[in-house]
Amino acid sequence: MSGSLLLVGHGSHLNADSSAPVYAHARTIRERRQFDEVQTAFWKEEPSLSRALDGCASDVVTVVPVFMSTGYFTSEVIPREMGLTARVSCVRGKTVRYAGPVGGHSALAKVIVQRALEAGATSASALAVLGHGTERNRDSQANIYQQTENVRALGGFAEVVTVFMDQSPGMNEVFELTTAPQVVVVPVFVADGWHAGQTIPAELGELAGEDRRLRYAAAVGTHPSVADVILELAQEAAAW
Amino acid sequence: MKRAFKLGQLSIEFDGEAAVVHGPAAATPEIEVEASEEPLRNWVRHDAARRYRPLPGSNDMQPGWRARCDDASLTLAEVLEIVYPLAMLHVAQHREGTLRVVPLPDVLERQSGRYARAVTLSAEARDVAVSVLCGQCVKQPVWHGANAGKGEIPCPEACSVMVSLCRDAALWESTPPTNAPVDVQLPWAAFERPGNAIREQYLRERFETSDQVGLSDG
Repeated sequence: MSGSLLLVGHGSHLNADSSAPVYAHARTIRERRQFDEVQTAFWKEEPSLSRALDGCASDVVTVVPVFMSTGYFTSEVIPREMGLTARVSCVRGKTVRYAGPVGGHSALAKVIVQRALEAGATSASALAVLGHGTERNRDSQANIYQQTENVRALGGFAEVVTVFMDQSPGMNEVFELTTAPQVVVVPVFVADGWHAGQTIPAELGELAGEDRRLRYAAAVGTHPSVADVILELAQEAAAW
Repeated sequence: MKRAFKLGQLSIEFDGEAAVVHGPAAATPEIEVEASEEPLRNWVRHDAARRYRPLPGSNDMQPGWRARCDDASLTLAEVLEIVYPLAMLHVAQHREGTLRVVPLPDVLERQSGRYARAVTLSAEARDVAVSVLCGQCVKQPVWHGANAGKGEIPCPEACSVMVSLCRDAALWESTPPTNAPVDVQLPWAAFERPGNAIREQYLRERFETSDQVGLSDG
């Protein structure tokens, strides 16, 4: 593959670490030298989404959103800010291919499994795939349910369920939704930031019972293998 | 021989083939910061009190450091790109007259979700927001009619931090909050939190009348 690869992330005005996984995946992919250049851009950091194409030297740019949900950001904010009108757009003389988000690719299921195993999951464990979710945009849940199906299809765990931080079924229901003695919760988040790194483990910590054990995995988005998912998305977009 | 130059708060010198990037001057000897991606980015994204700097151009870069760019490190262009993303490109485009400039009304009008409210901010209040926020940034807001001279970085489009301030400022118009003492520990861009330095400066400049200023001056 040639041309520019542009990874776009949310970023933060408040948390310096939220963009770290995007930089890390960009570095990994840059080292593989499959693209002429690998750039990054963010909704809340610089370079901004609206100026991201300024920094791309190539006339062919593949944009991969490092987001877990297909929803408000991937369908509205990113296309609007970058001037994208279709899957393949012409923006100020550049051909821009807009791939789907990382969270929507089937290859992410293997990363979810990897995170569960790292956290101590066994074939007797229940795996809870945890998404952000929001009552304001029901589209955002679709990728999480799909990844649950993908993980279930891979096999290897006694049960696989879906829970959310901000919508039902809530993560506080995880013991009611499963029966296995050990439940491993895998957060399908980009970073171990405010939610995945702090509020969620604190809330889950209050659920642990005497006869049931709960383990919490690191965020899926920080796993090095996410770079491979990004490359798969870019490769698929190159065929359009 | 390559000539020294300045960019924002940086001074760049050349030592043979190597470039040395200096942060703002300090009374203490300079710390050597490794000119590689992660350490450098981590360094410049925090101020001297280790508070996160969401705006690369904010004029509170840590003083007293240097990074040496040679064969074993990032190039000078790569270092400058980490410290001030897109700055060198925008300097060149500004000089050539090809810089794409987007005015603030266009940026605010396209916002949605929680930021849709930002467009309701009056022109007068927008000027206060520009004065307060851009007054703390080394970039020159050419989108607001500023000029960018030698060593200065043109800013072609209002950043997301400006949009965020305009959104909060629009909410403050109906019931202006009272001023609170500045708390320098608060996050730089937490405008919704009383005590945030930019919030407090904005509230003073926007809502404090000349009479009140006279009274508070005693």
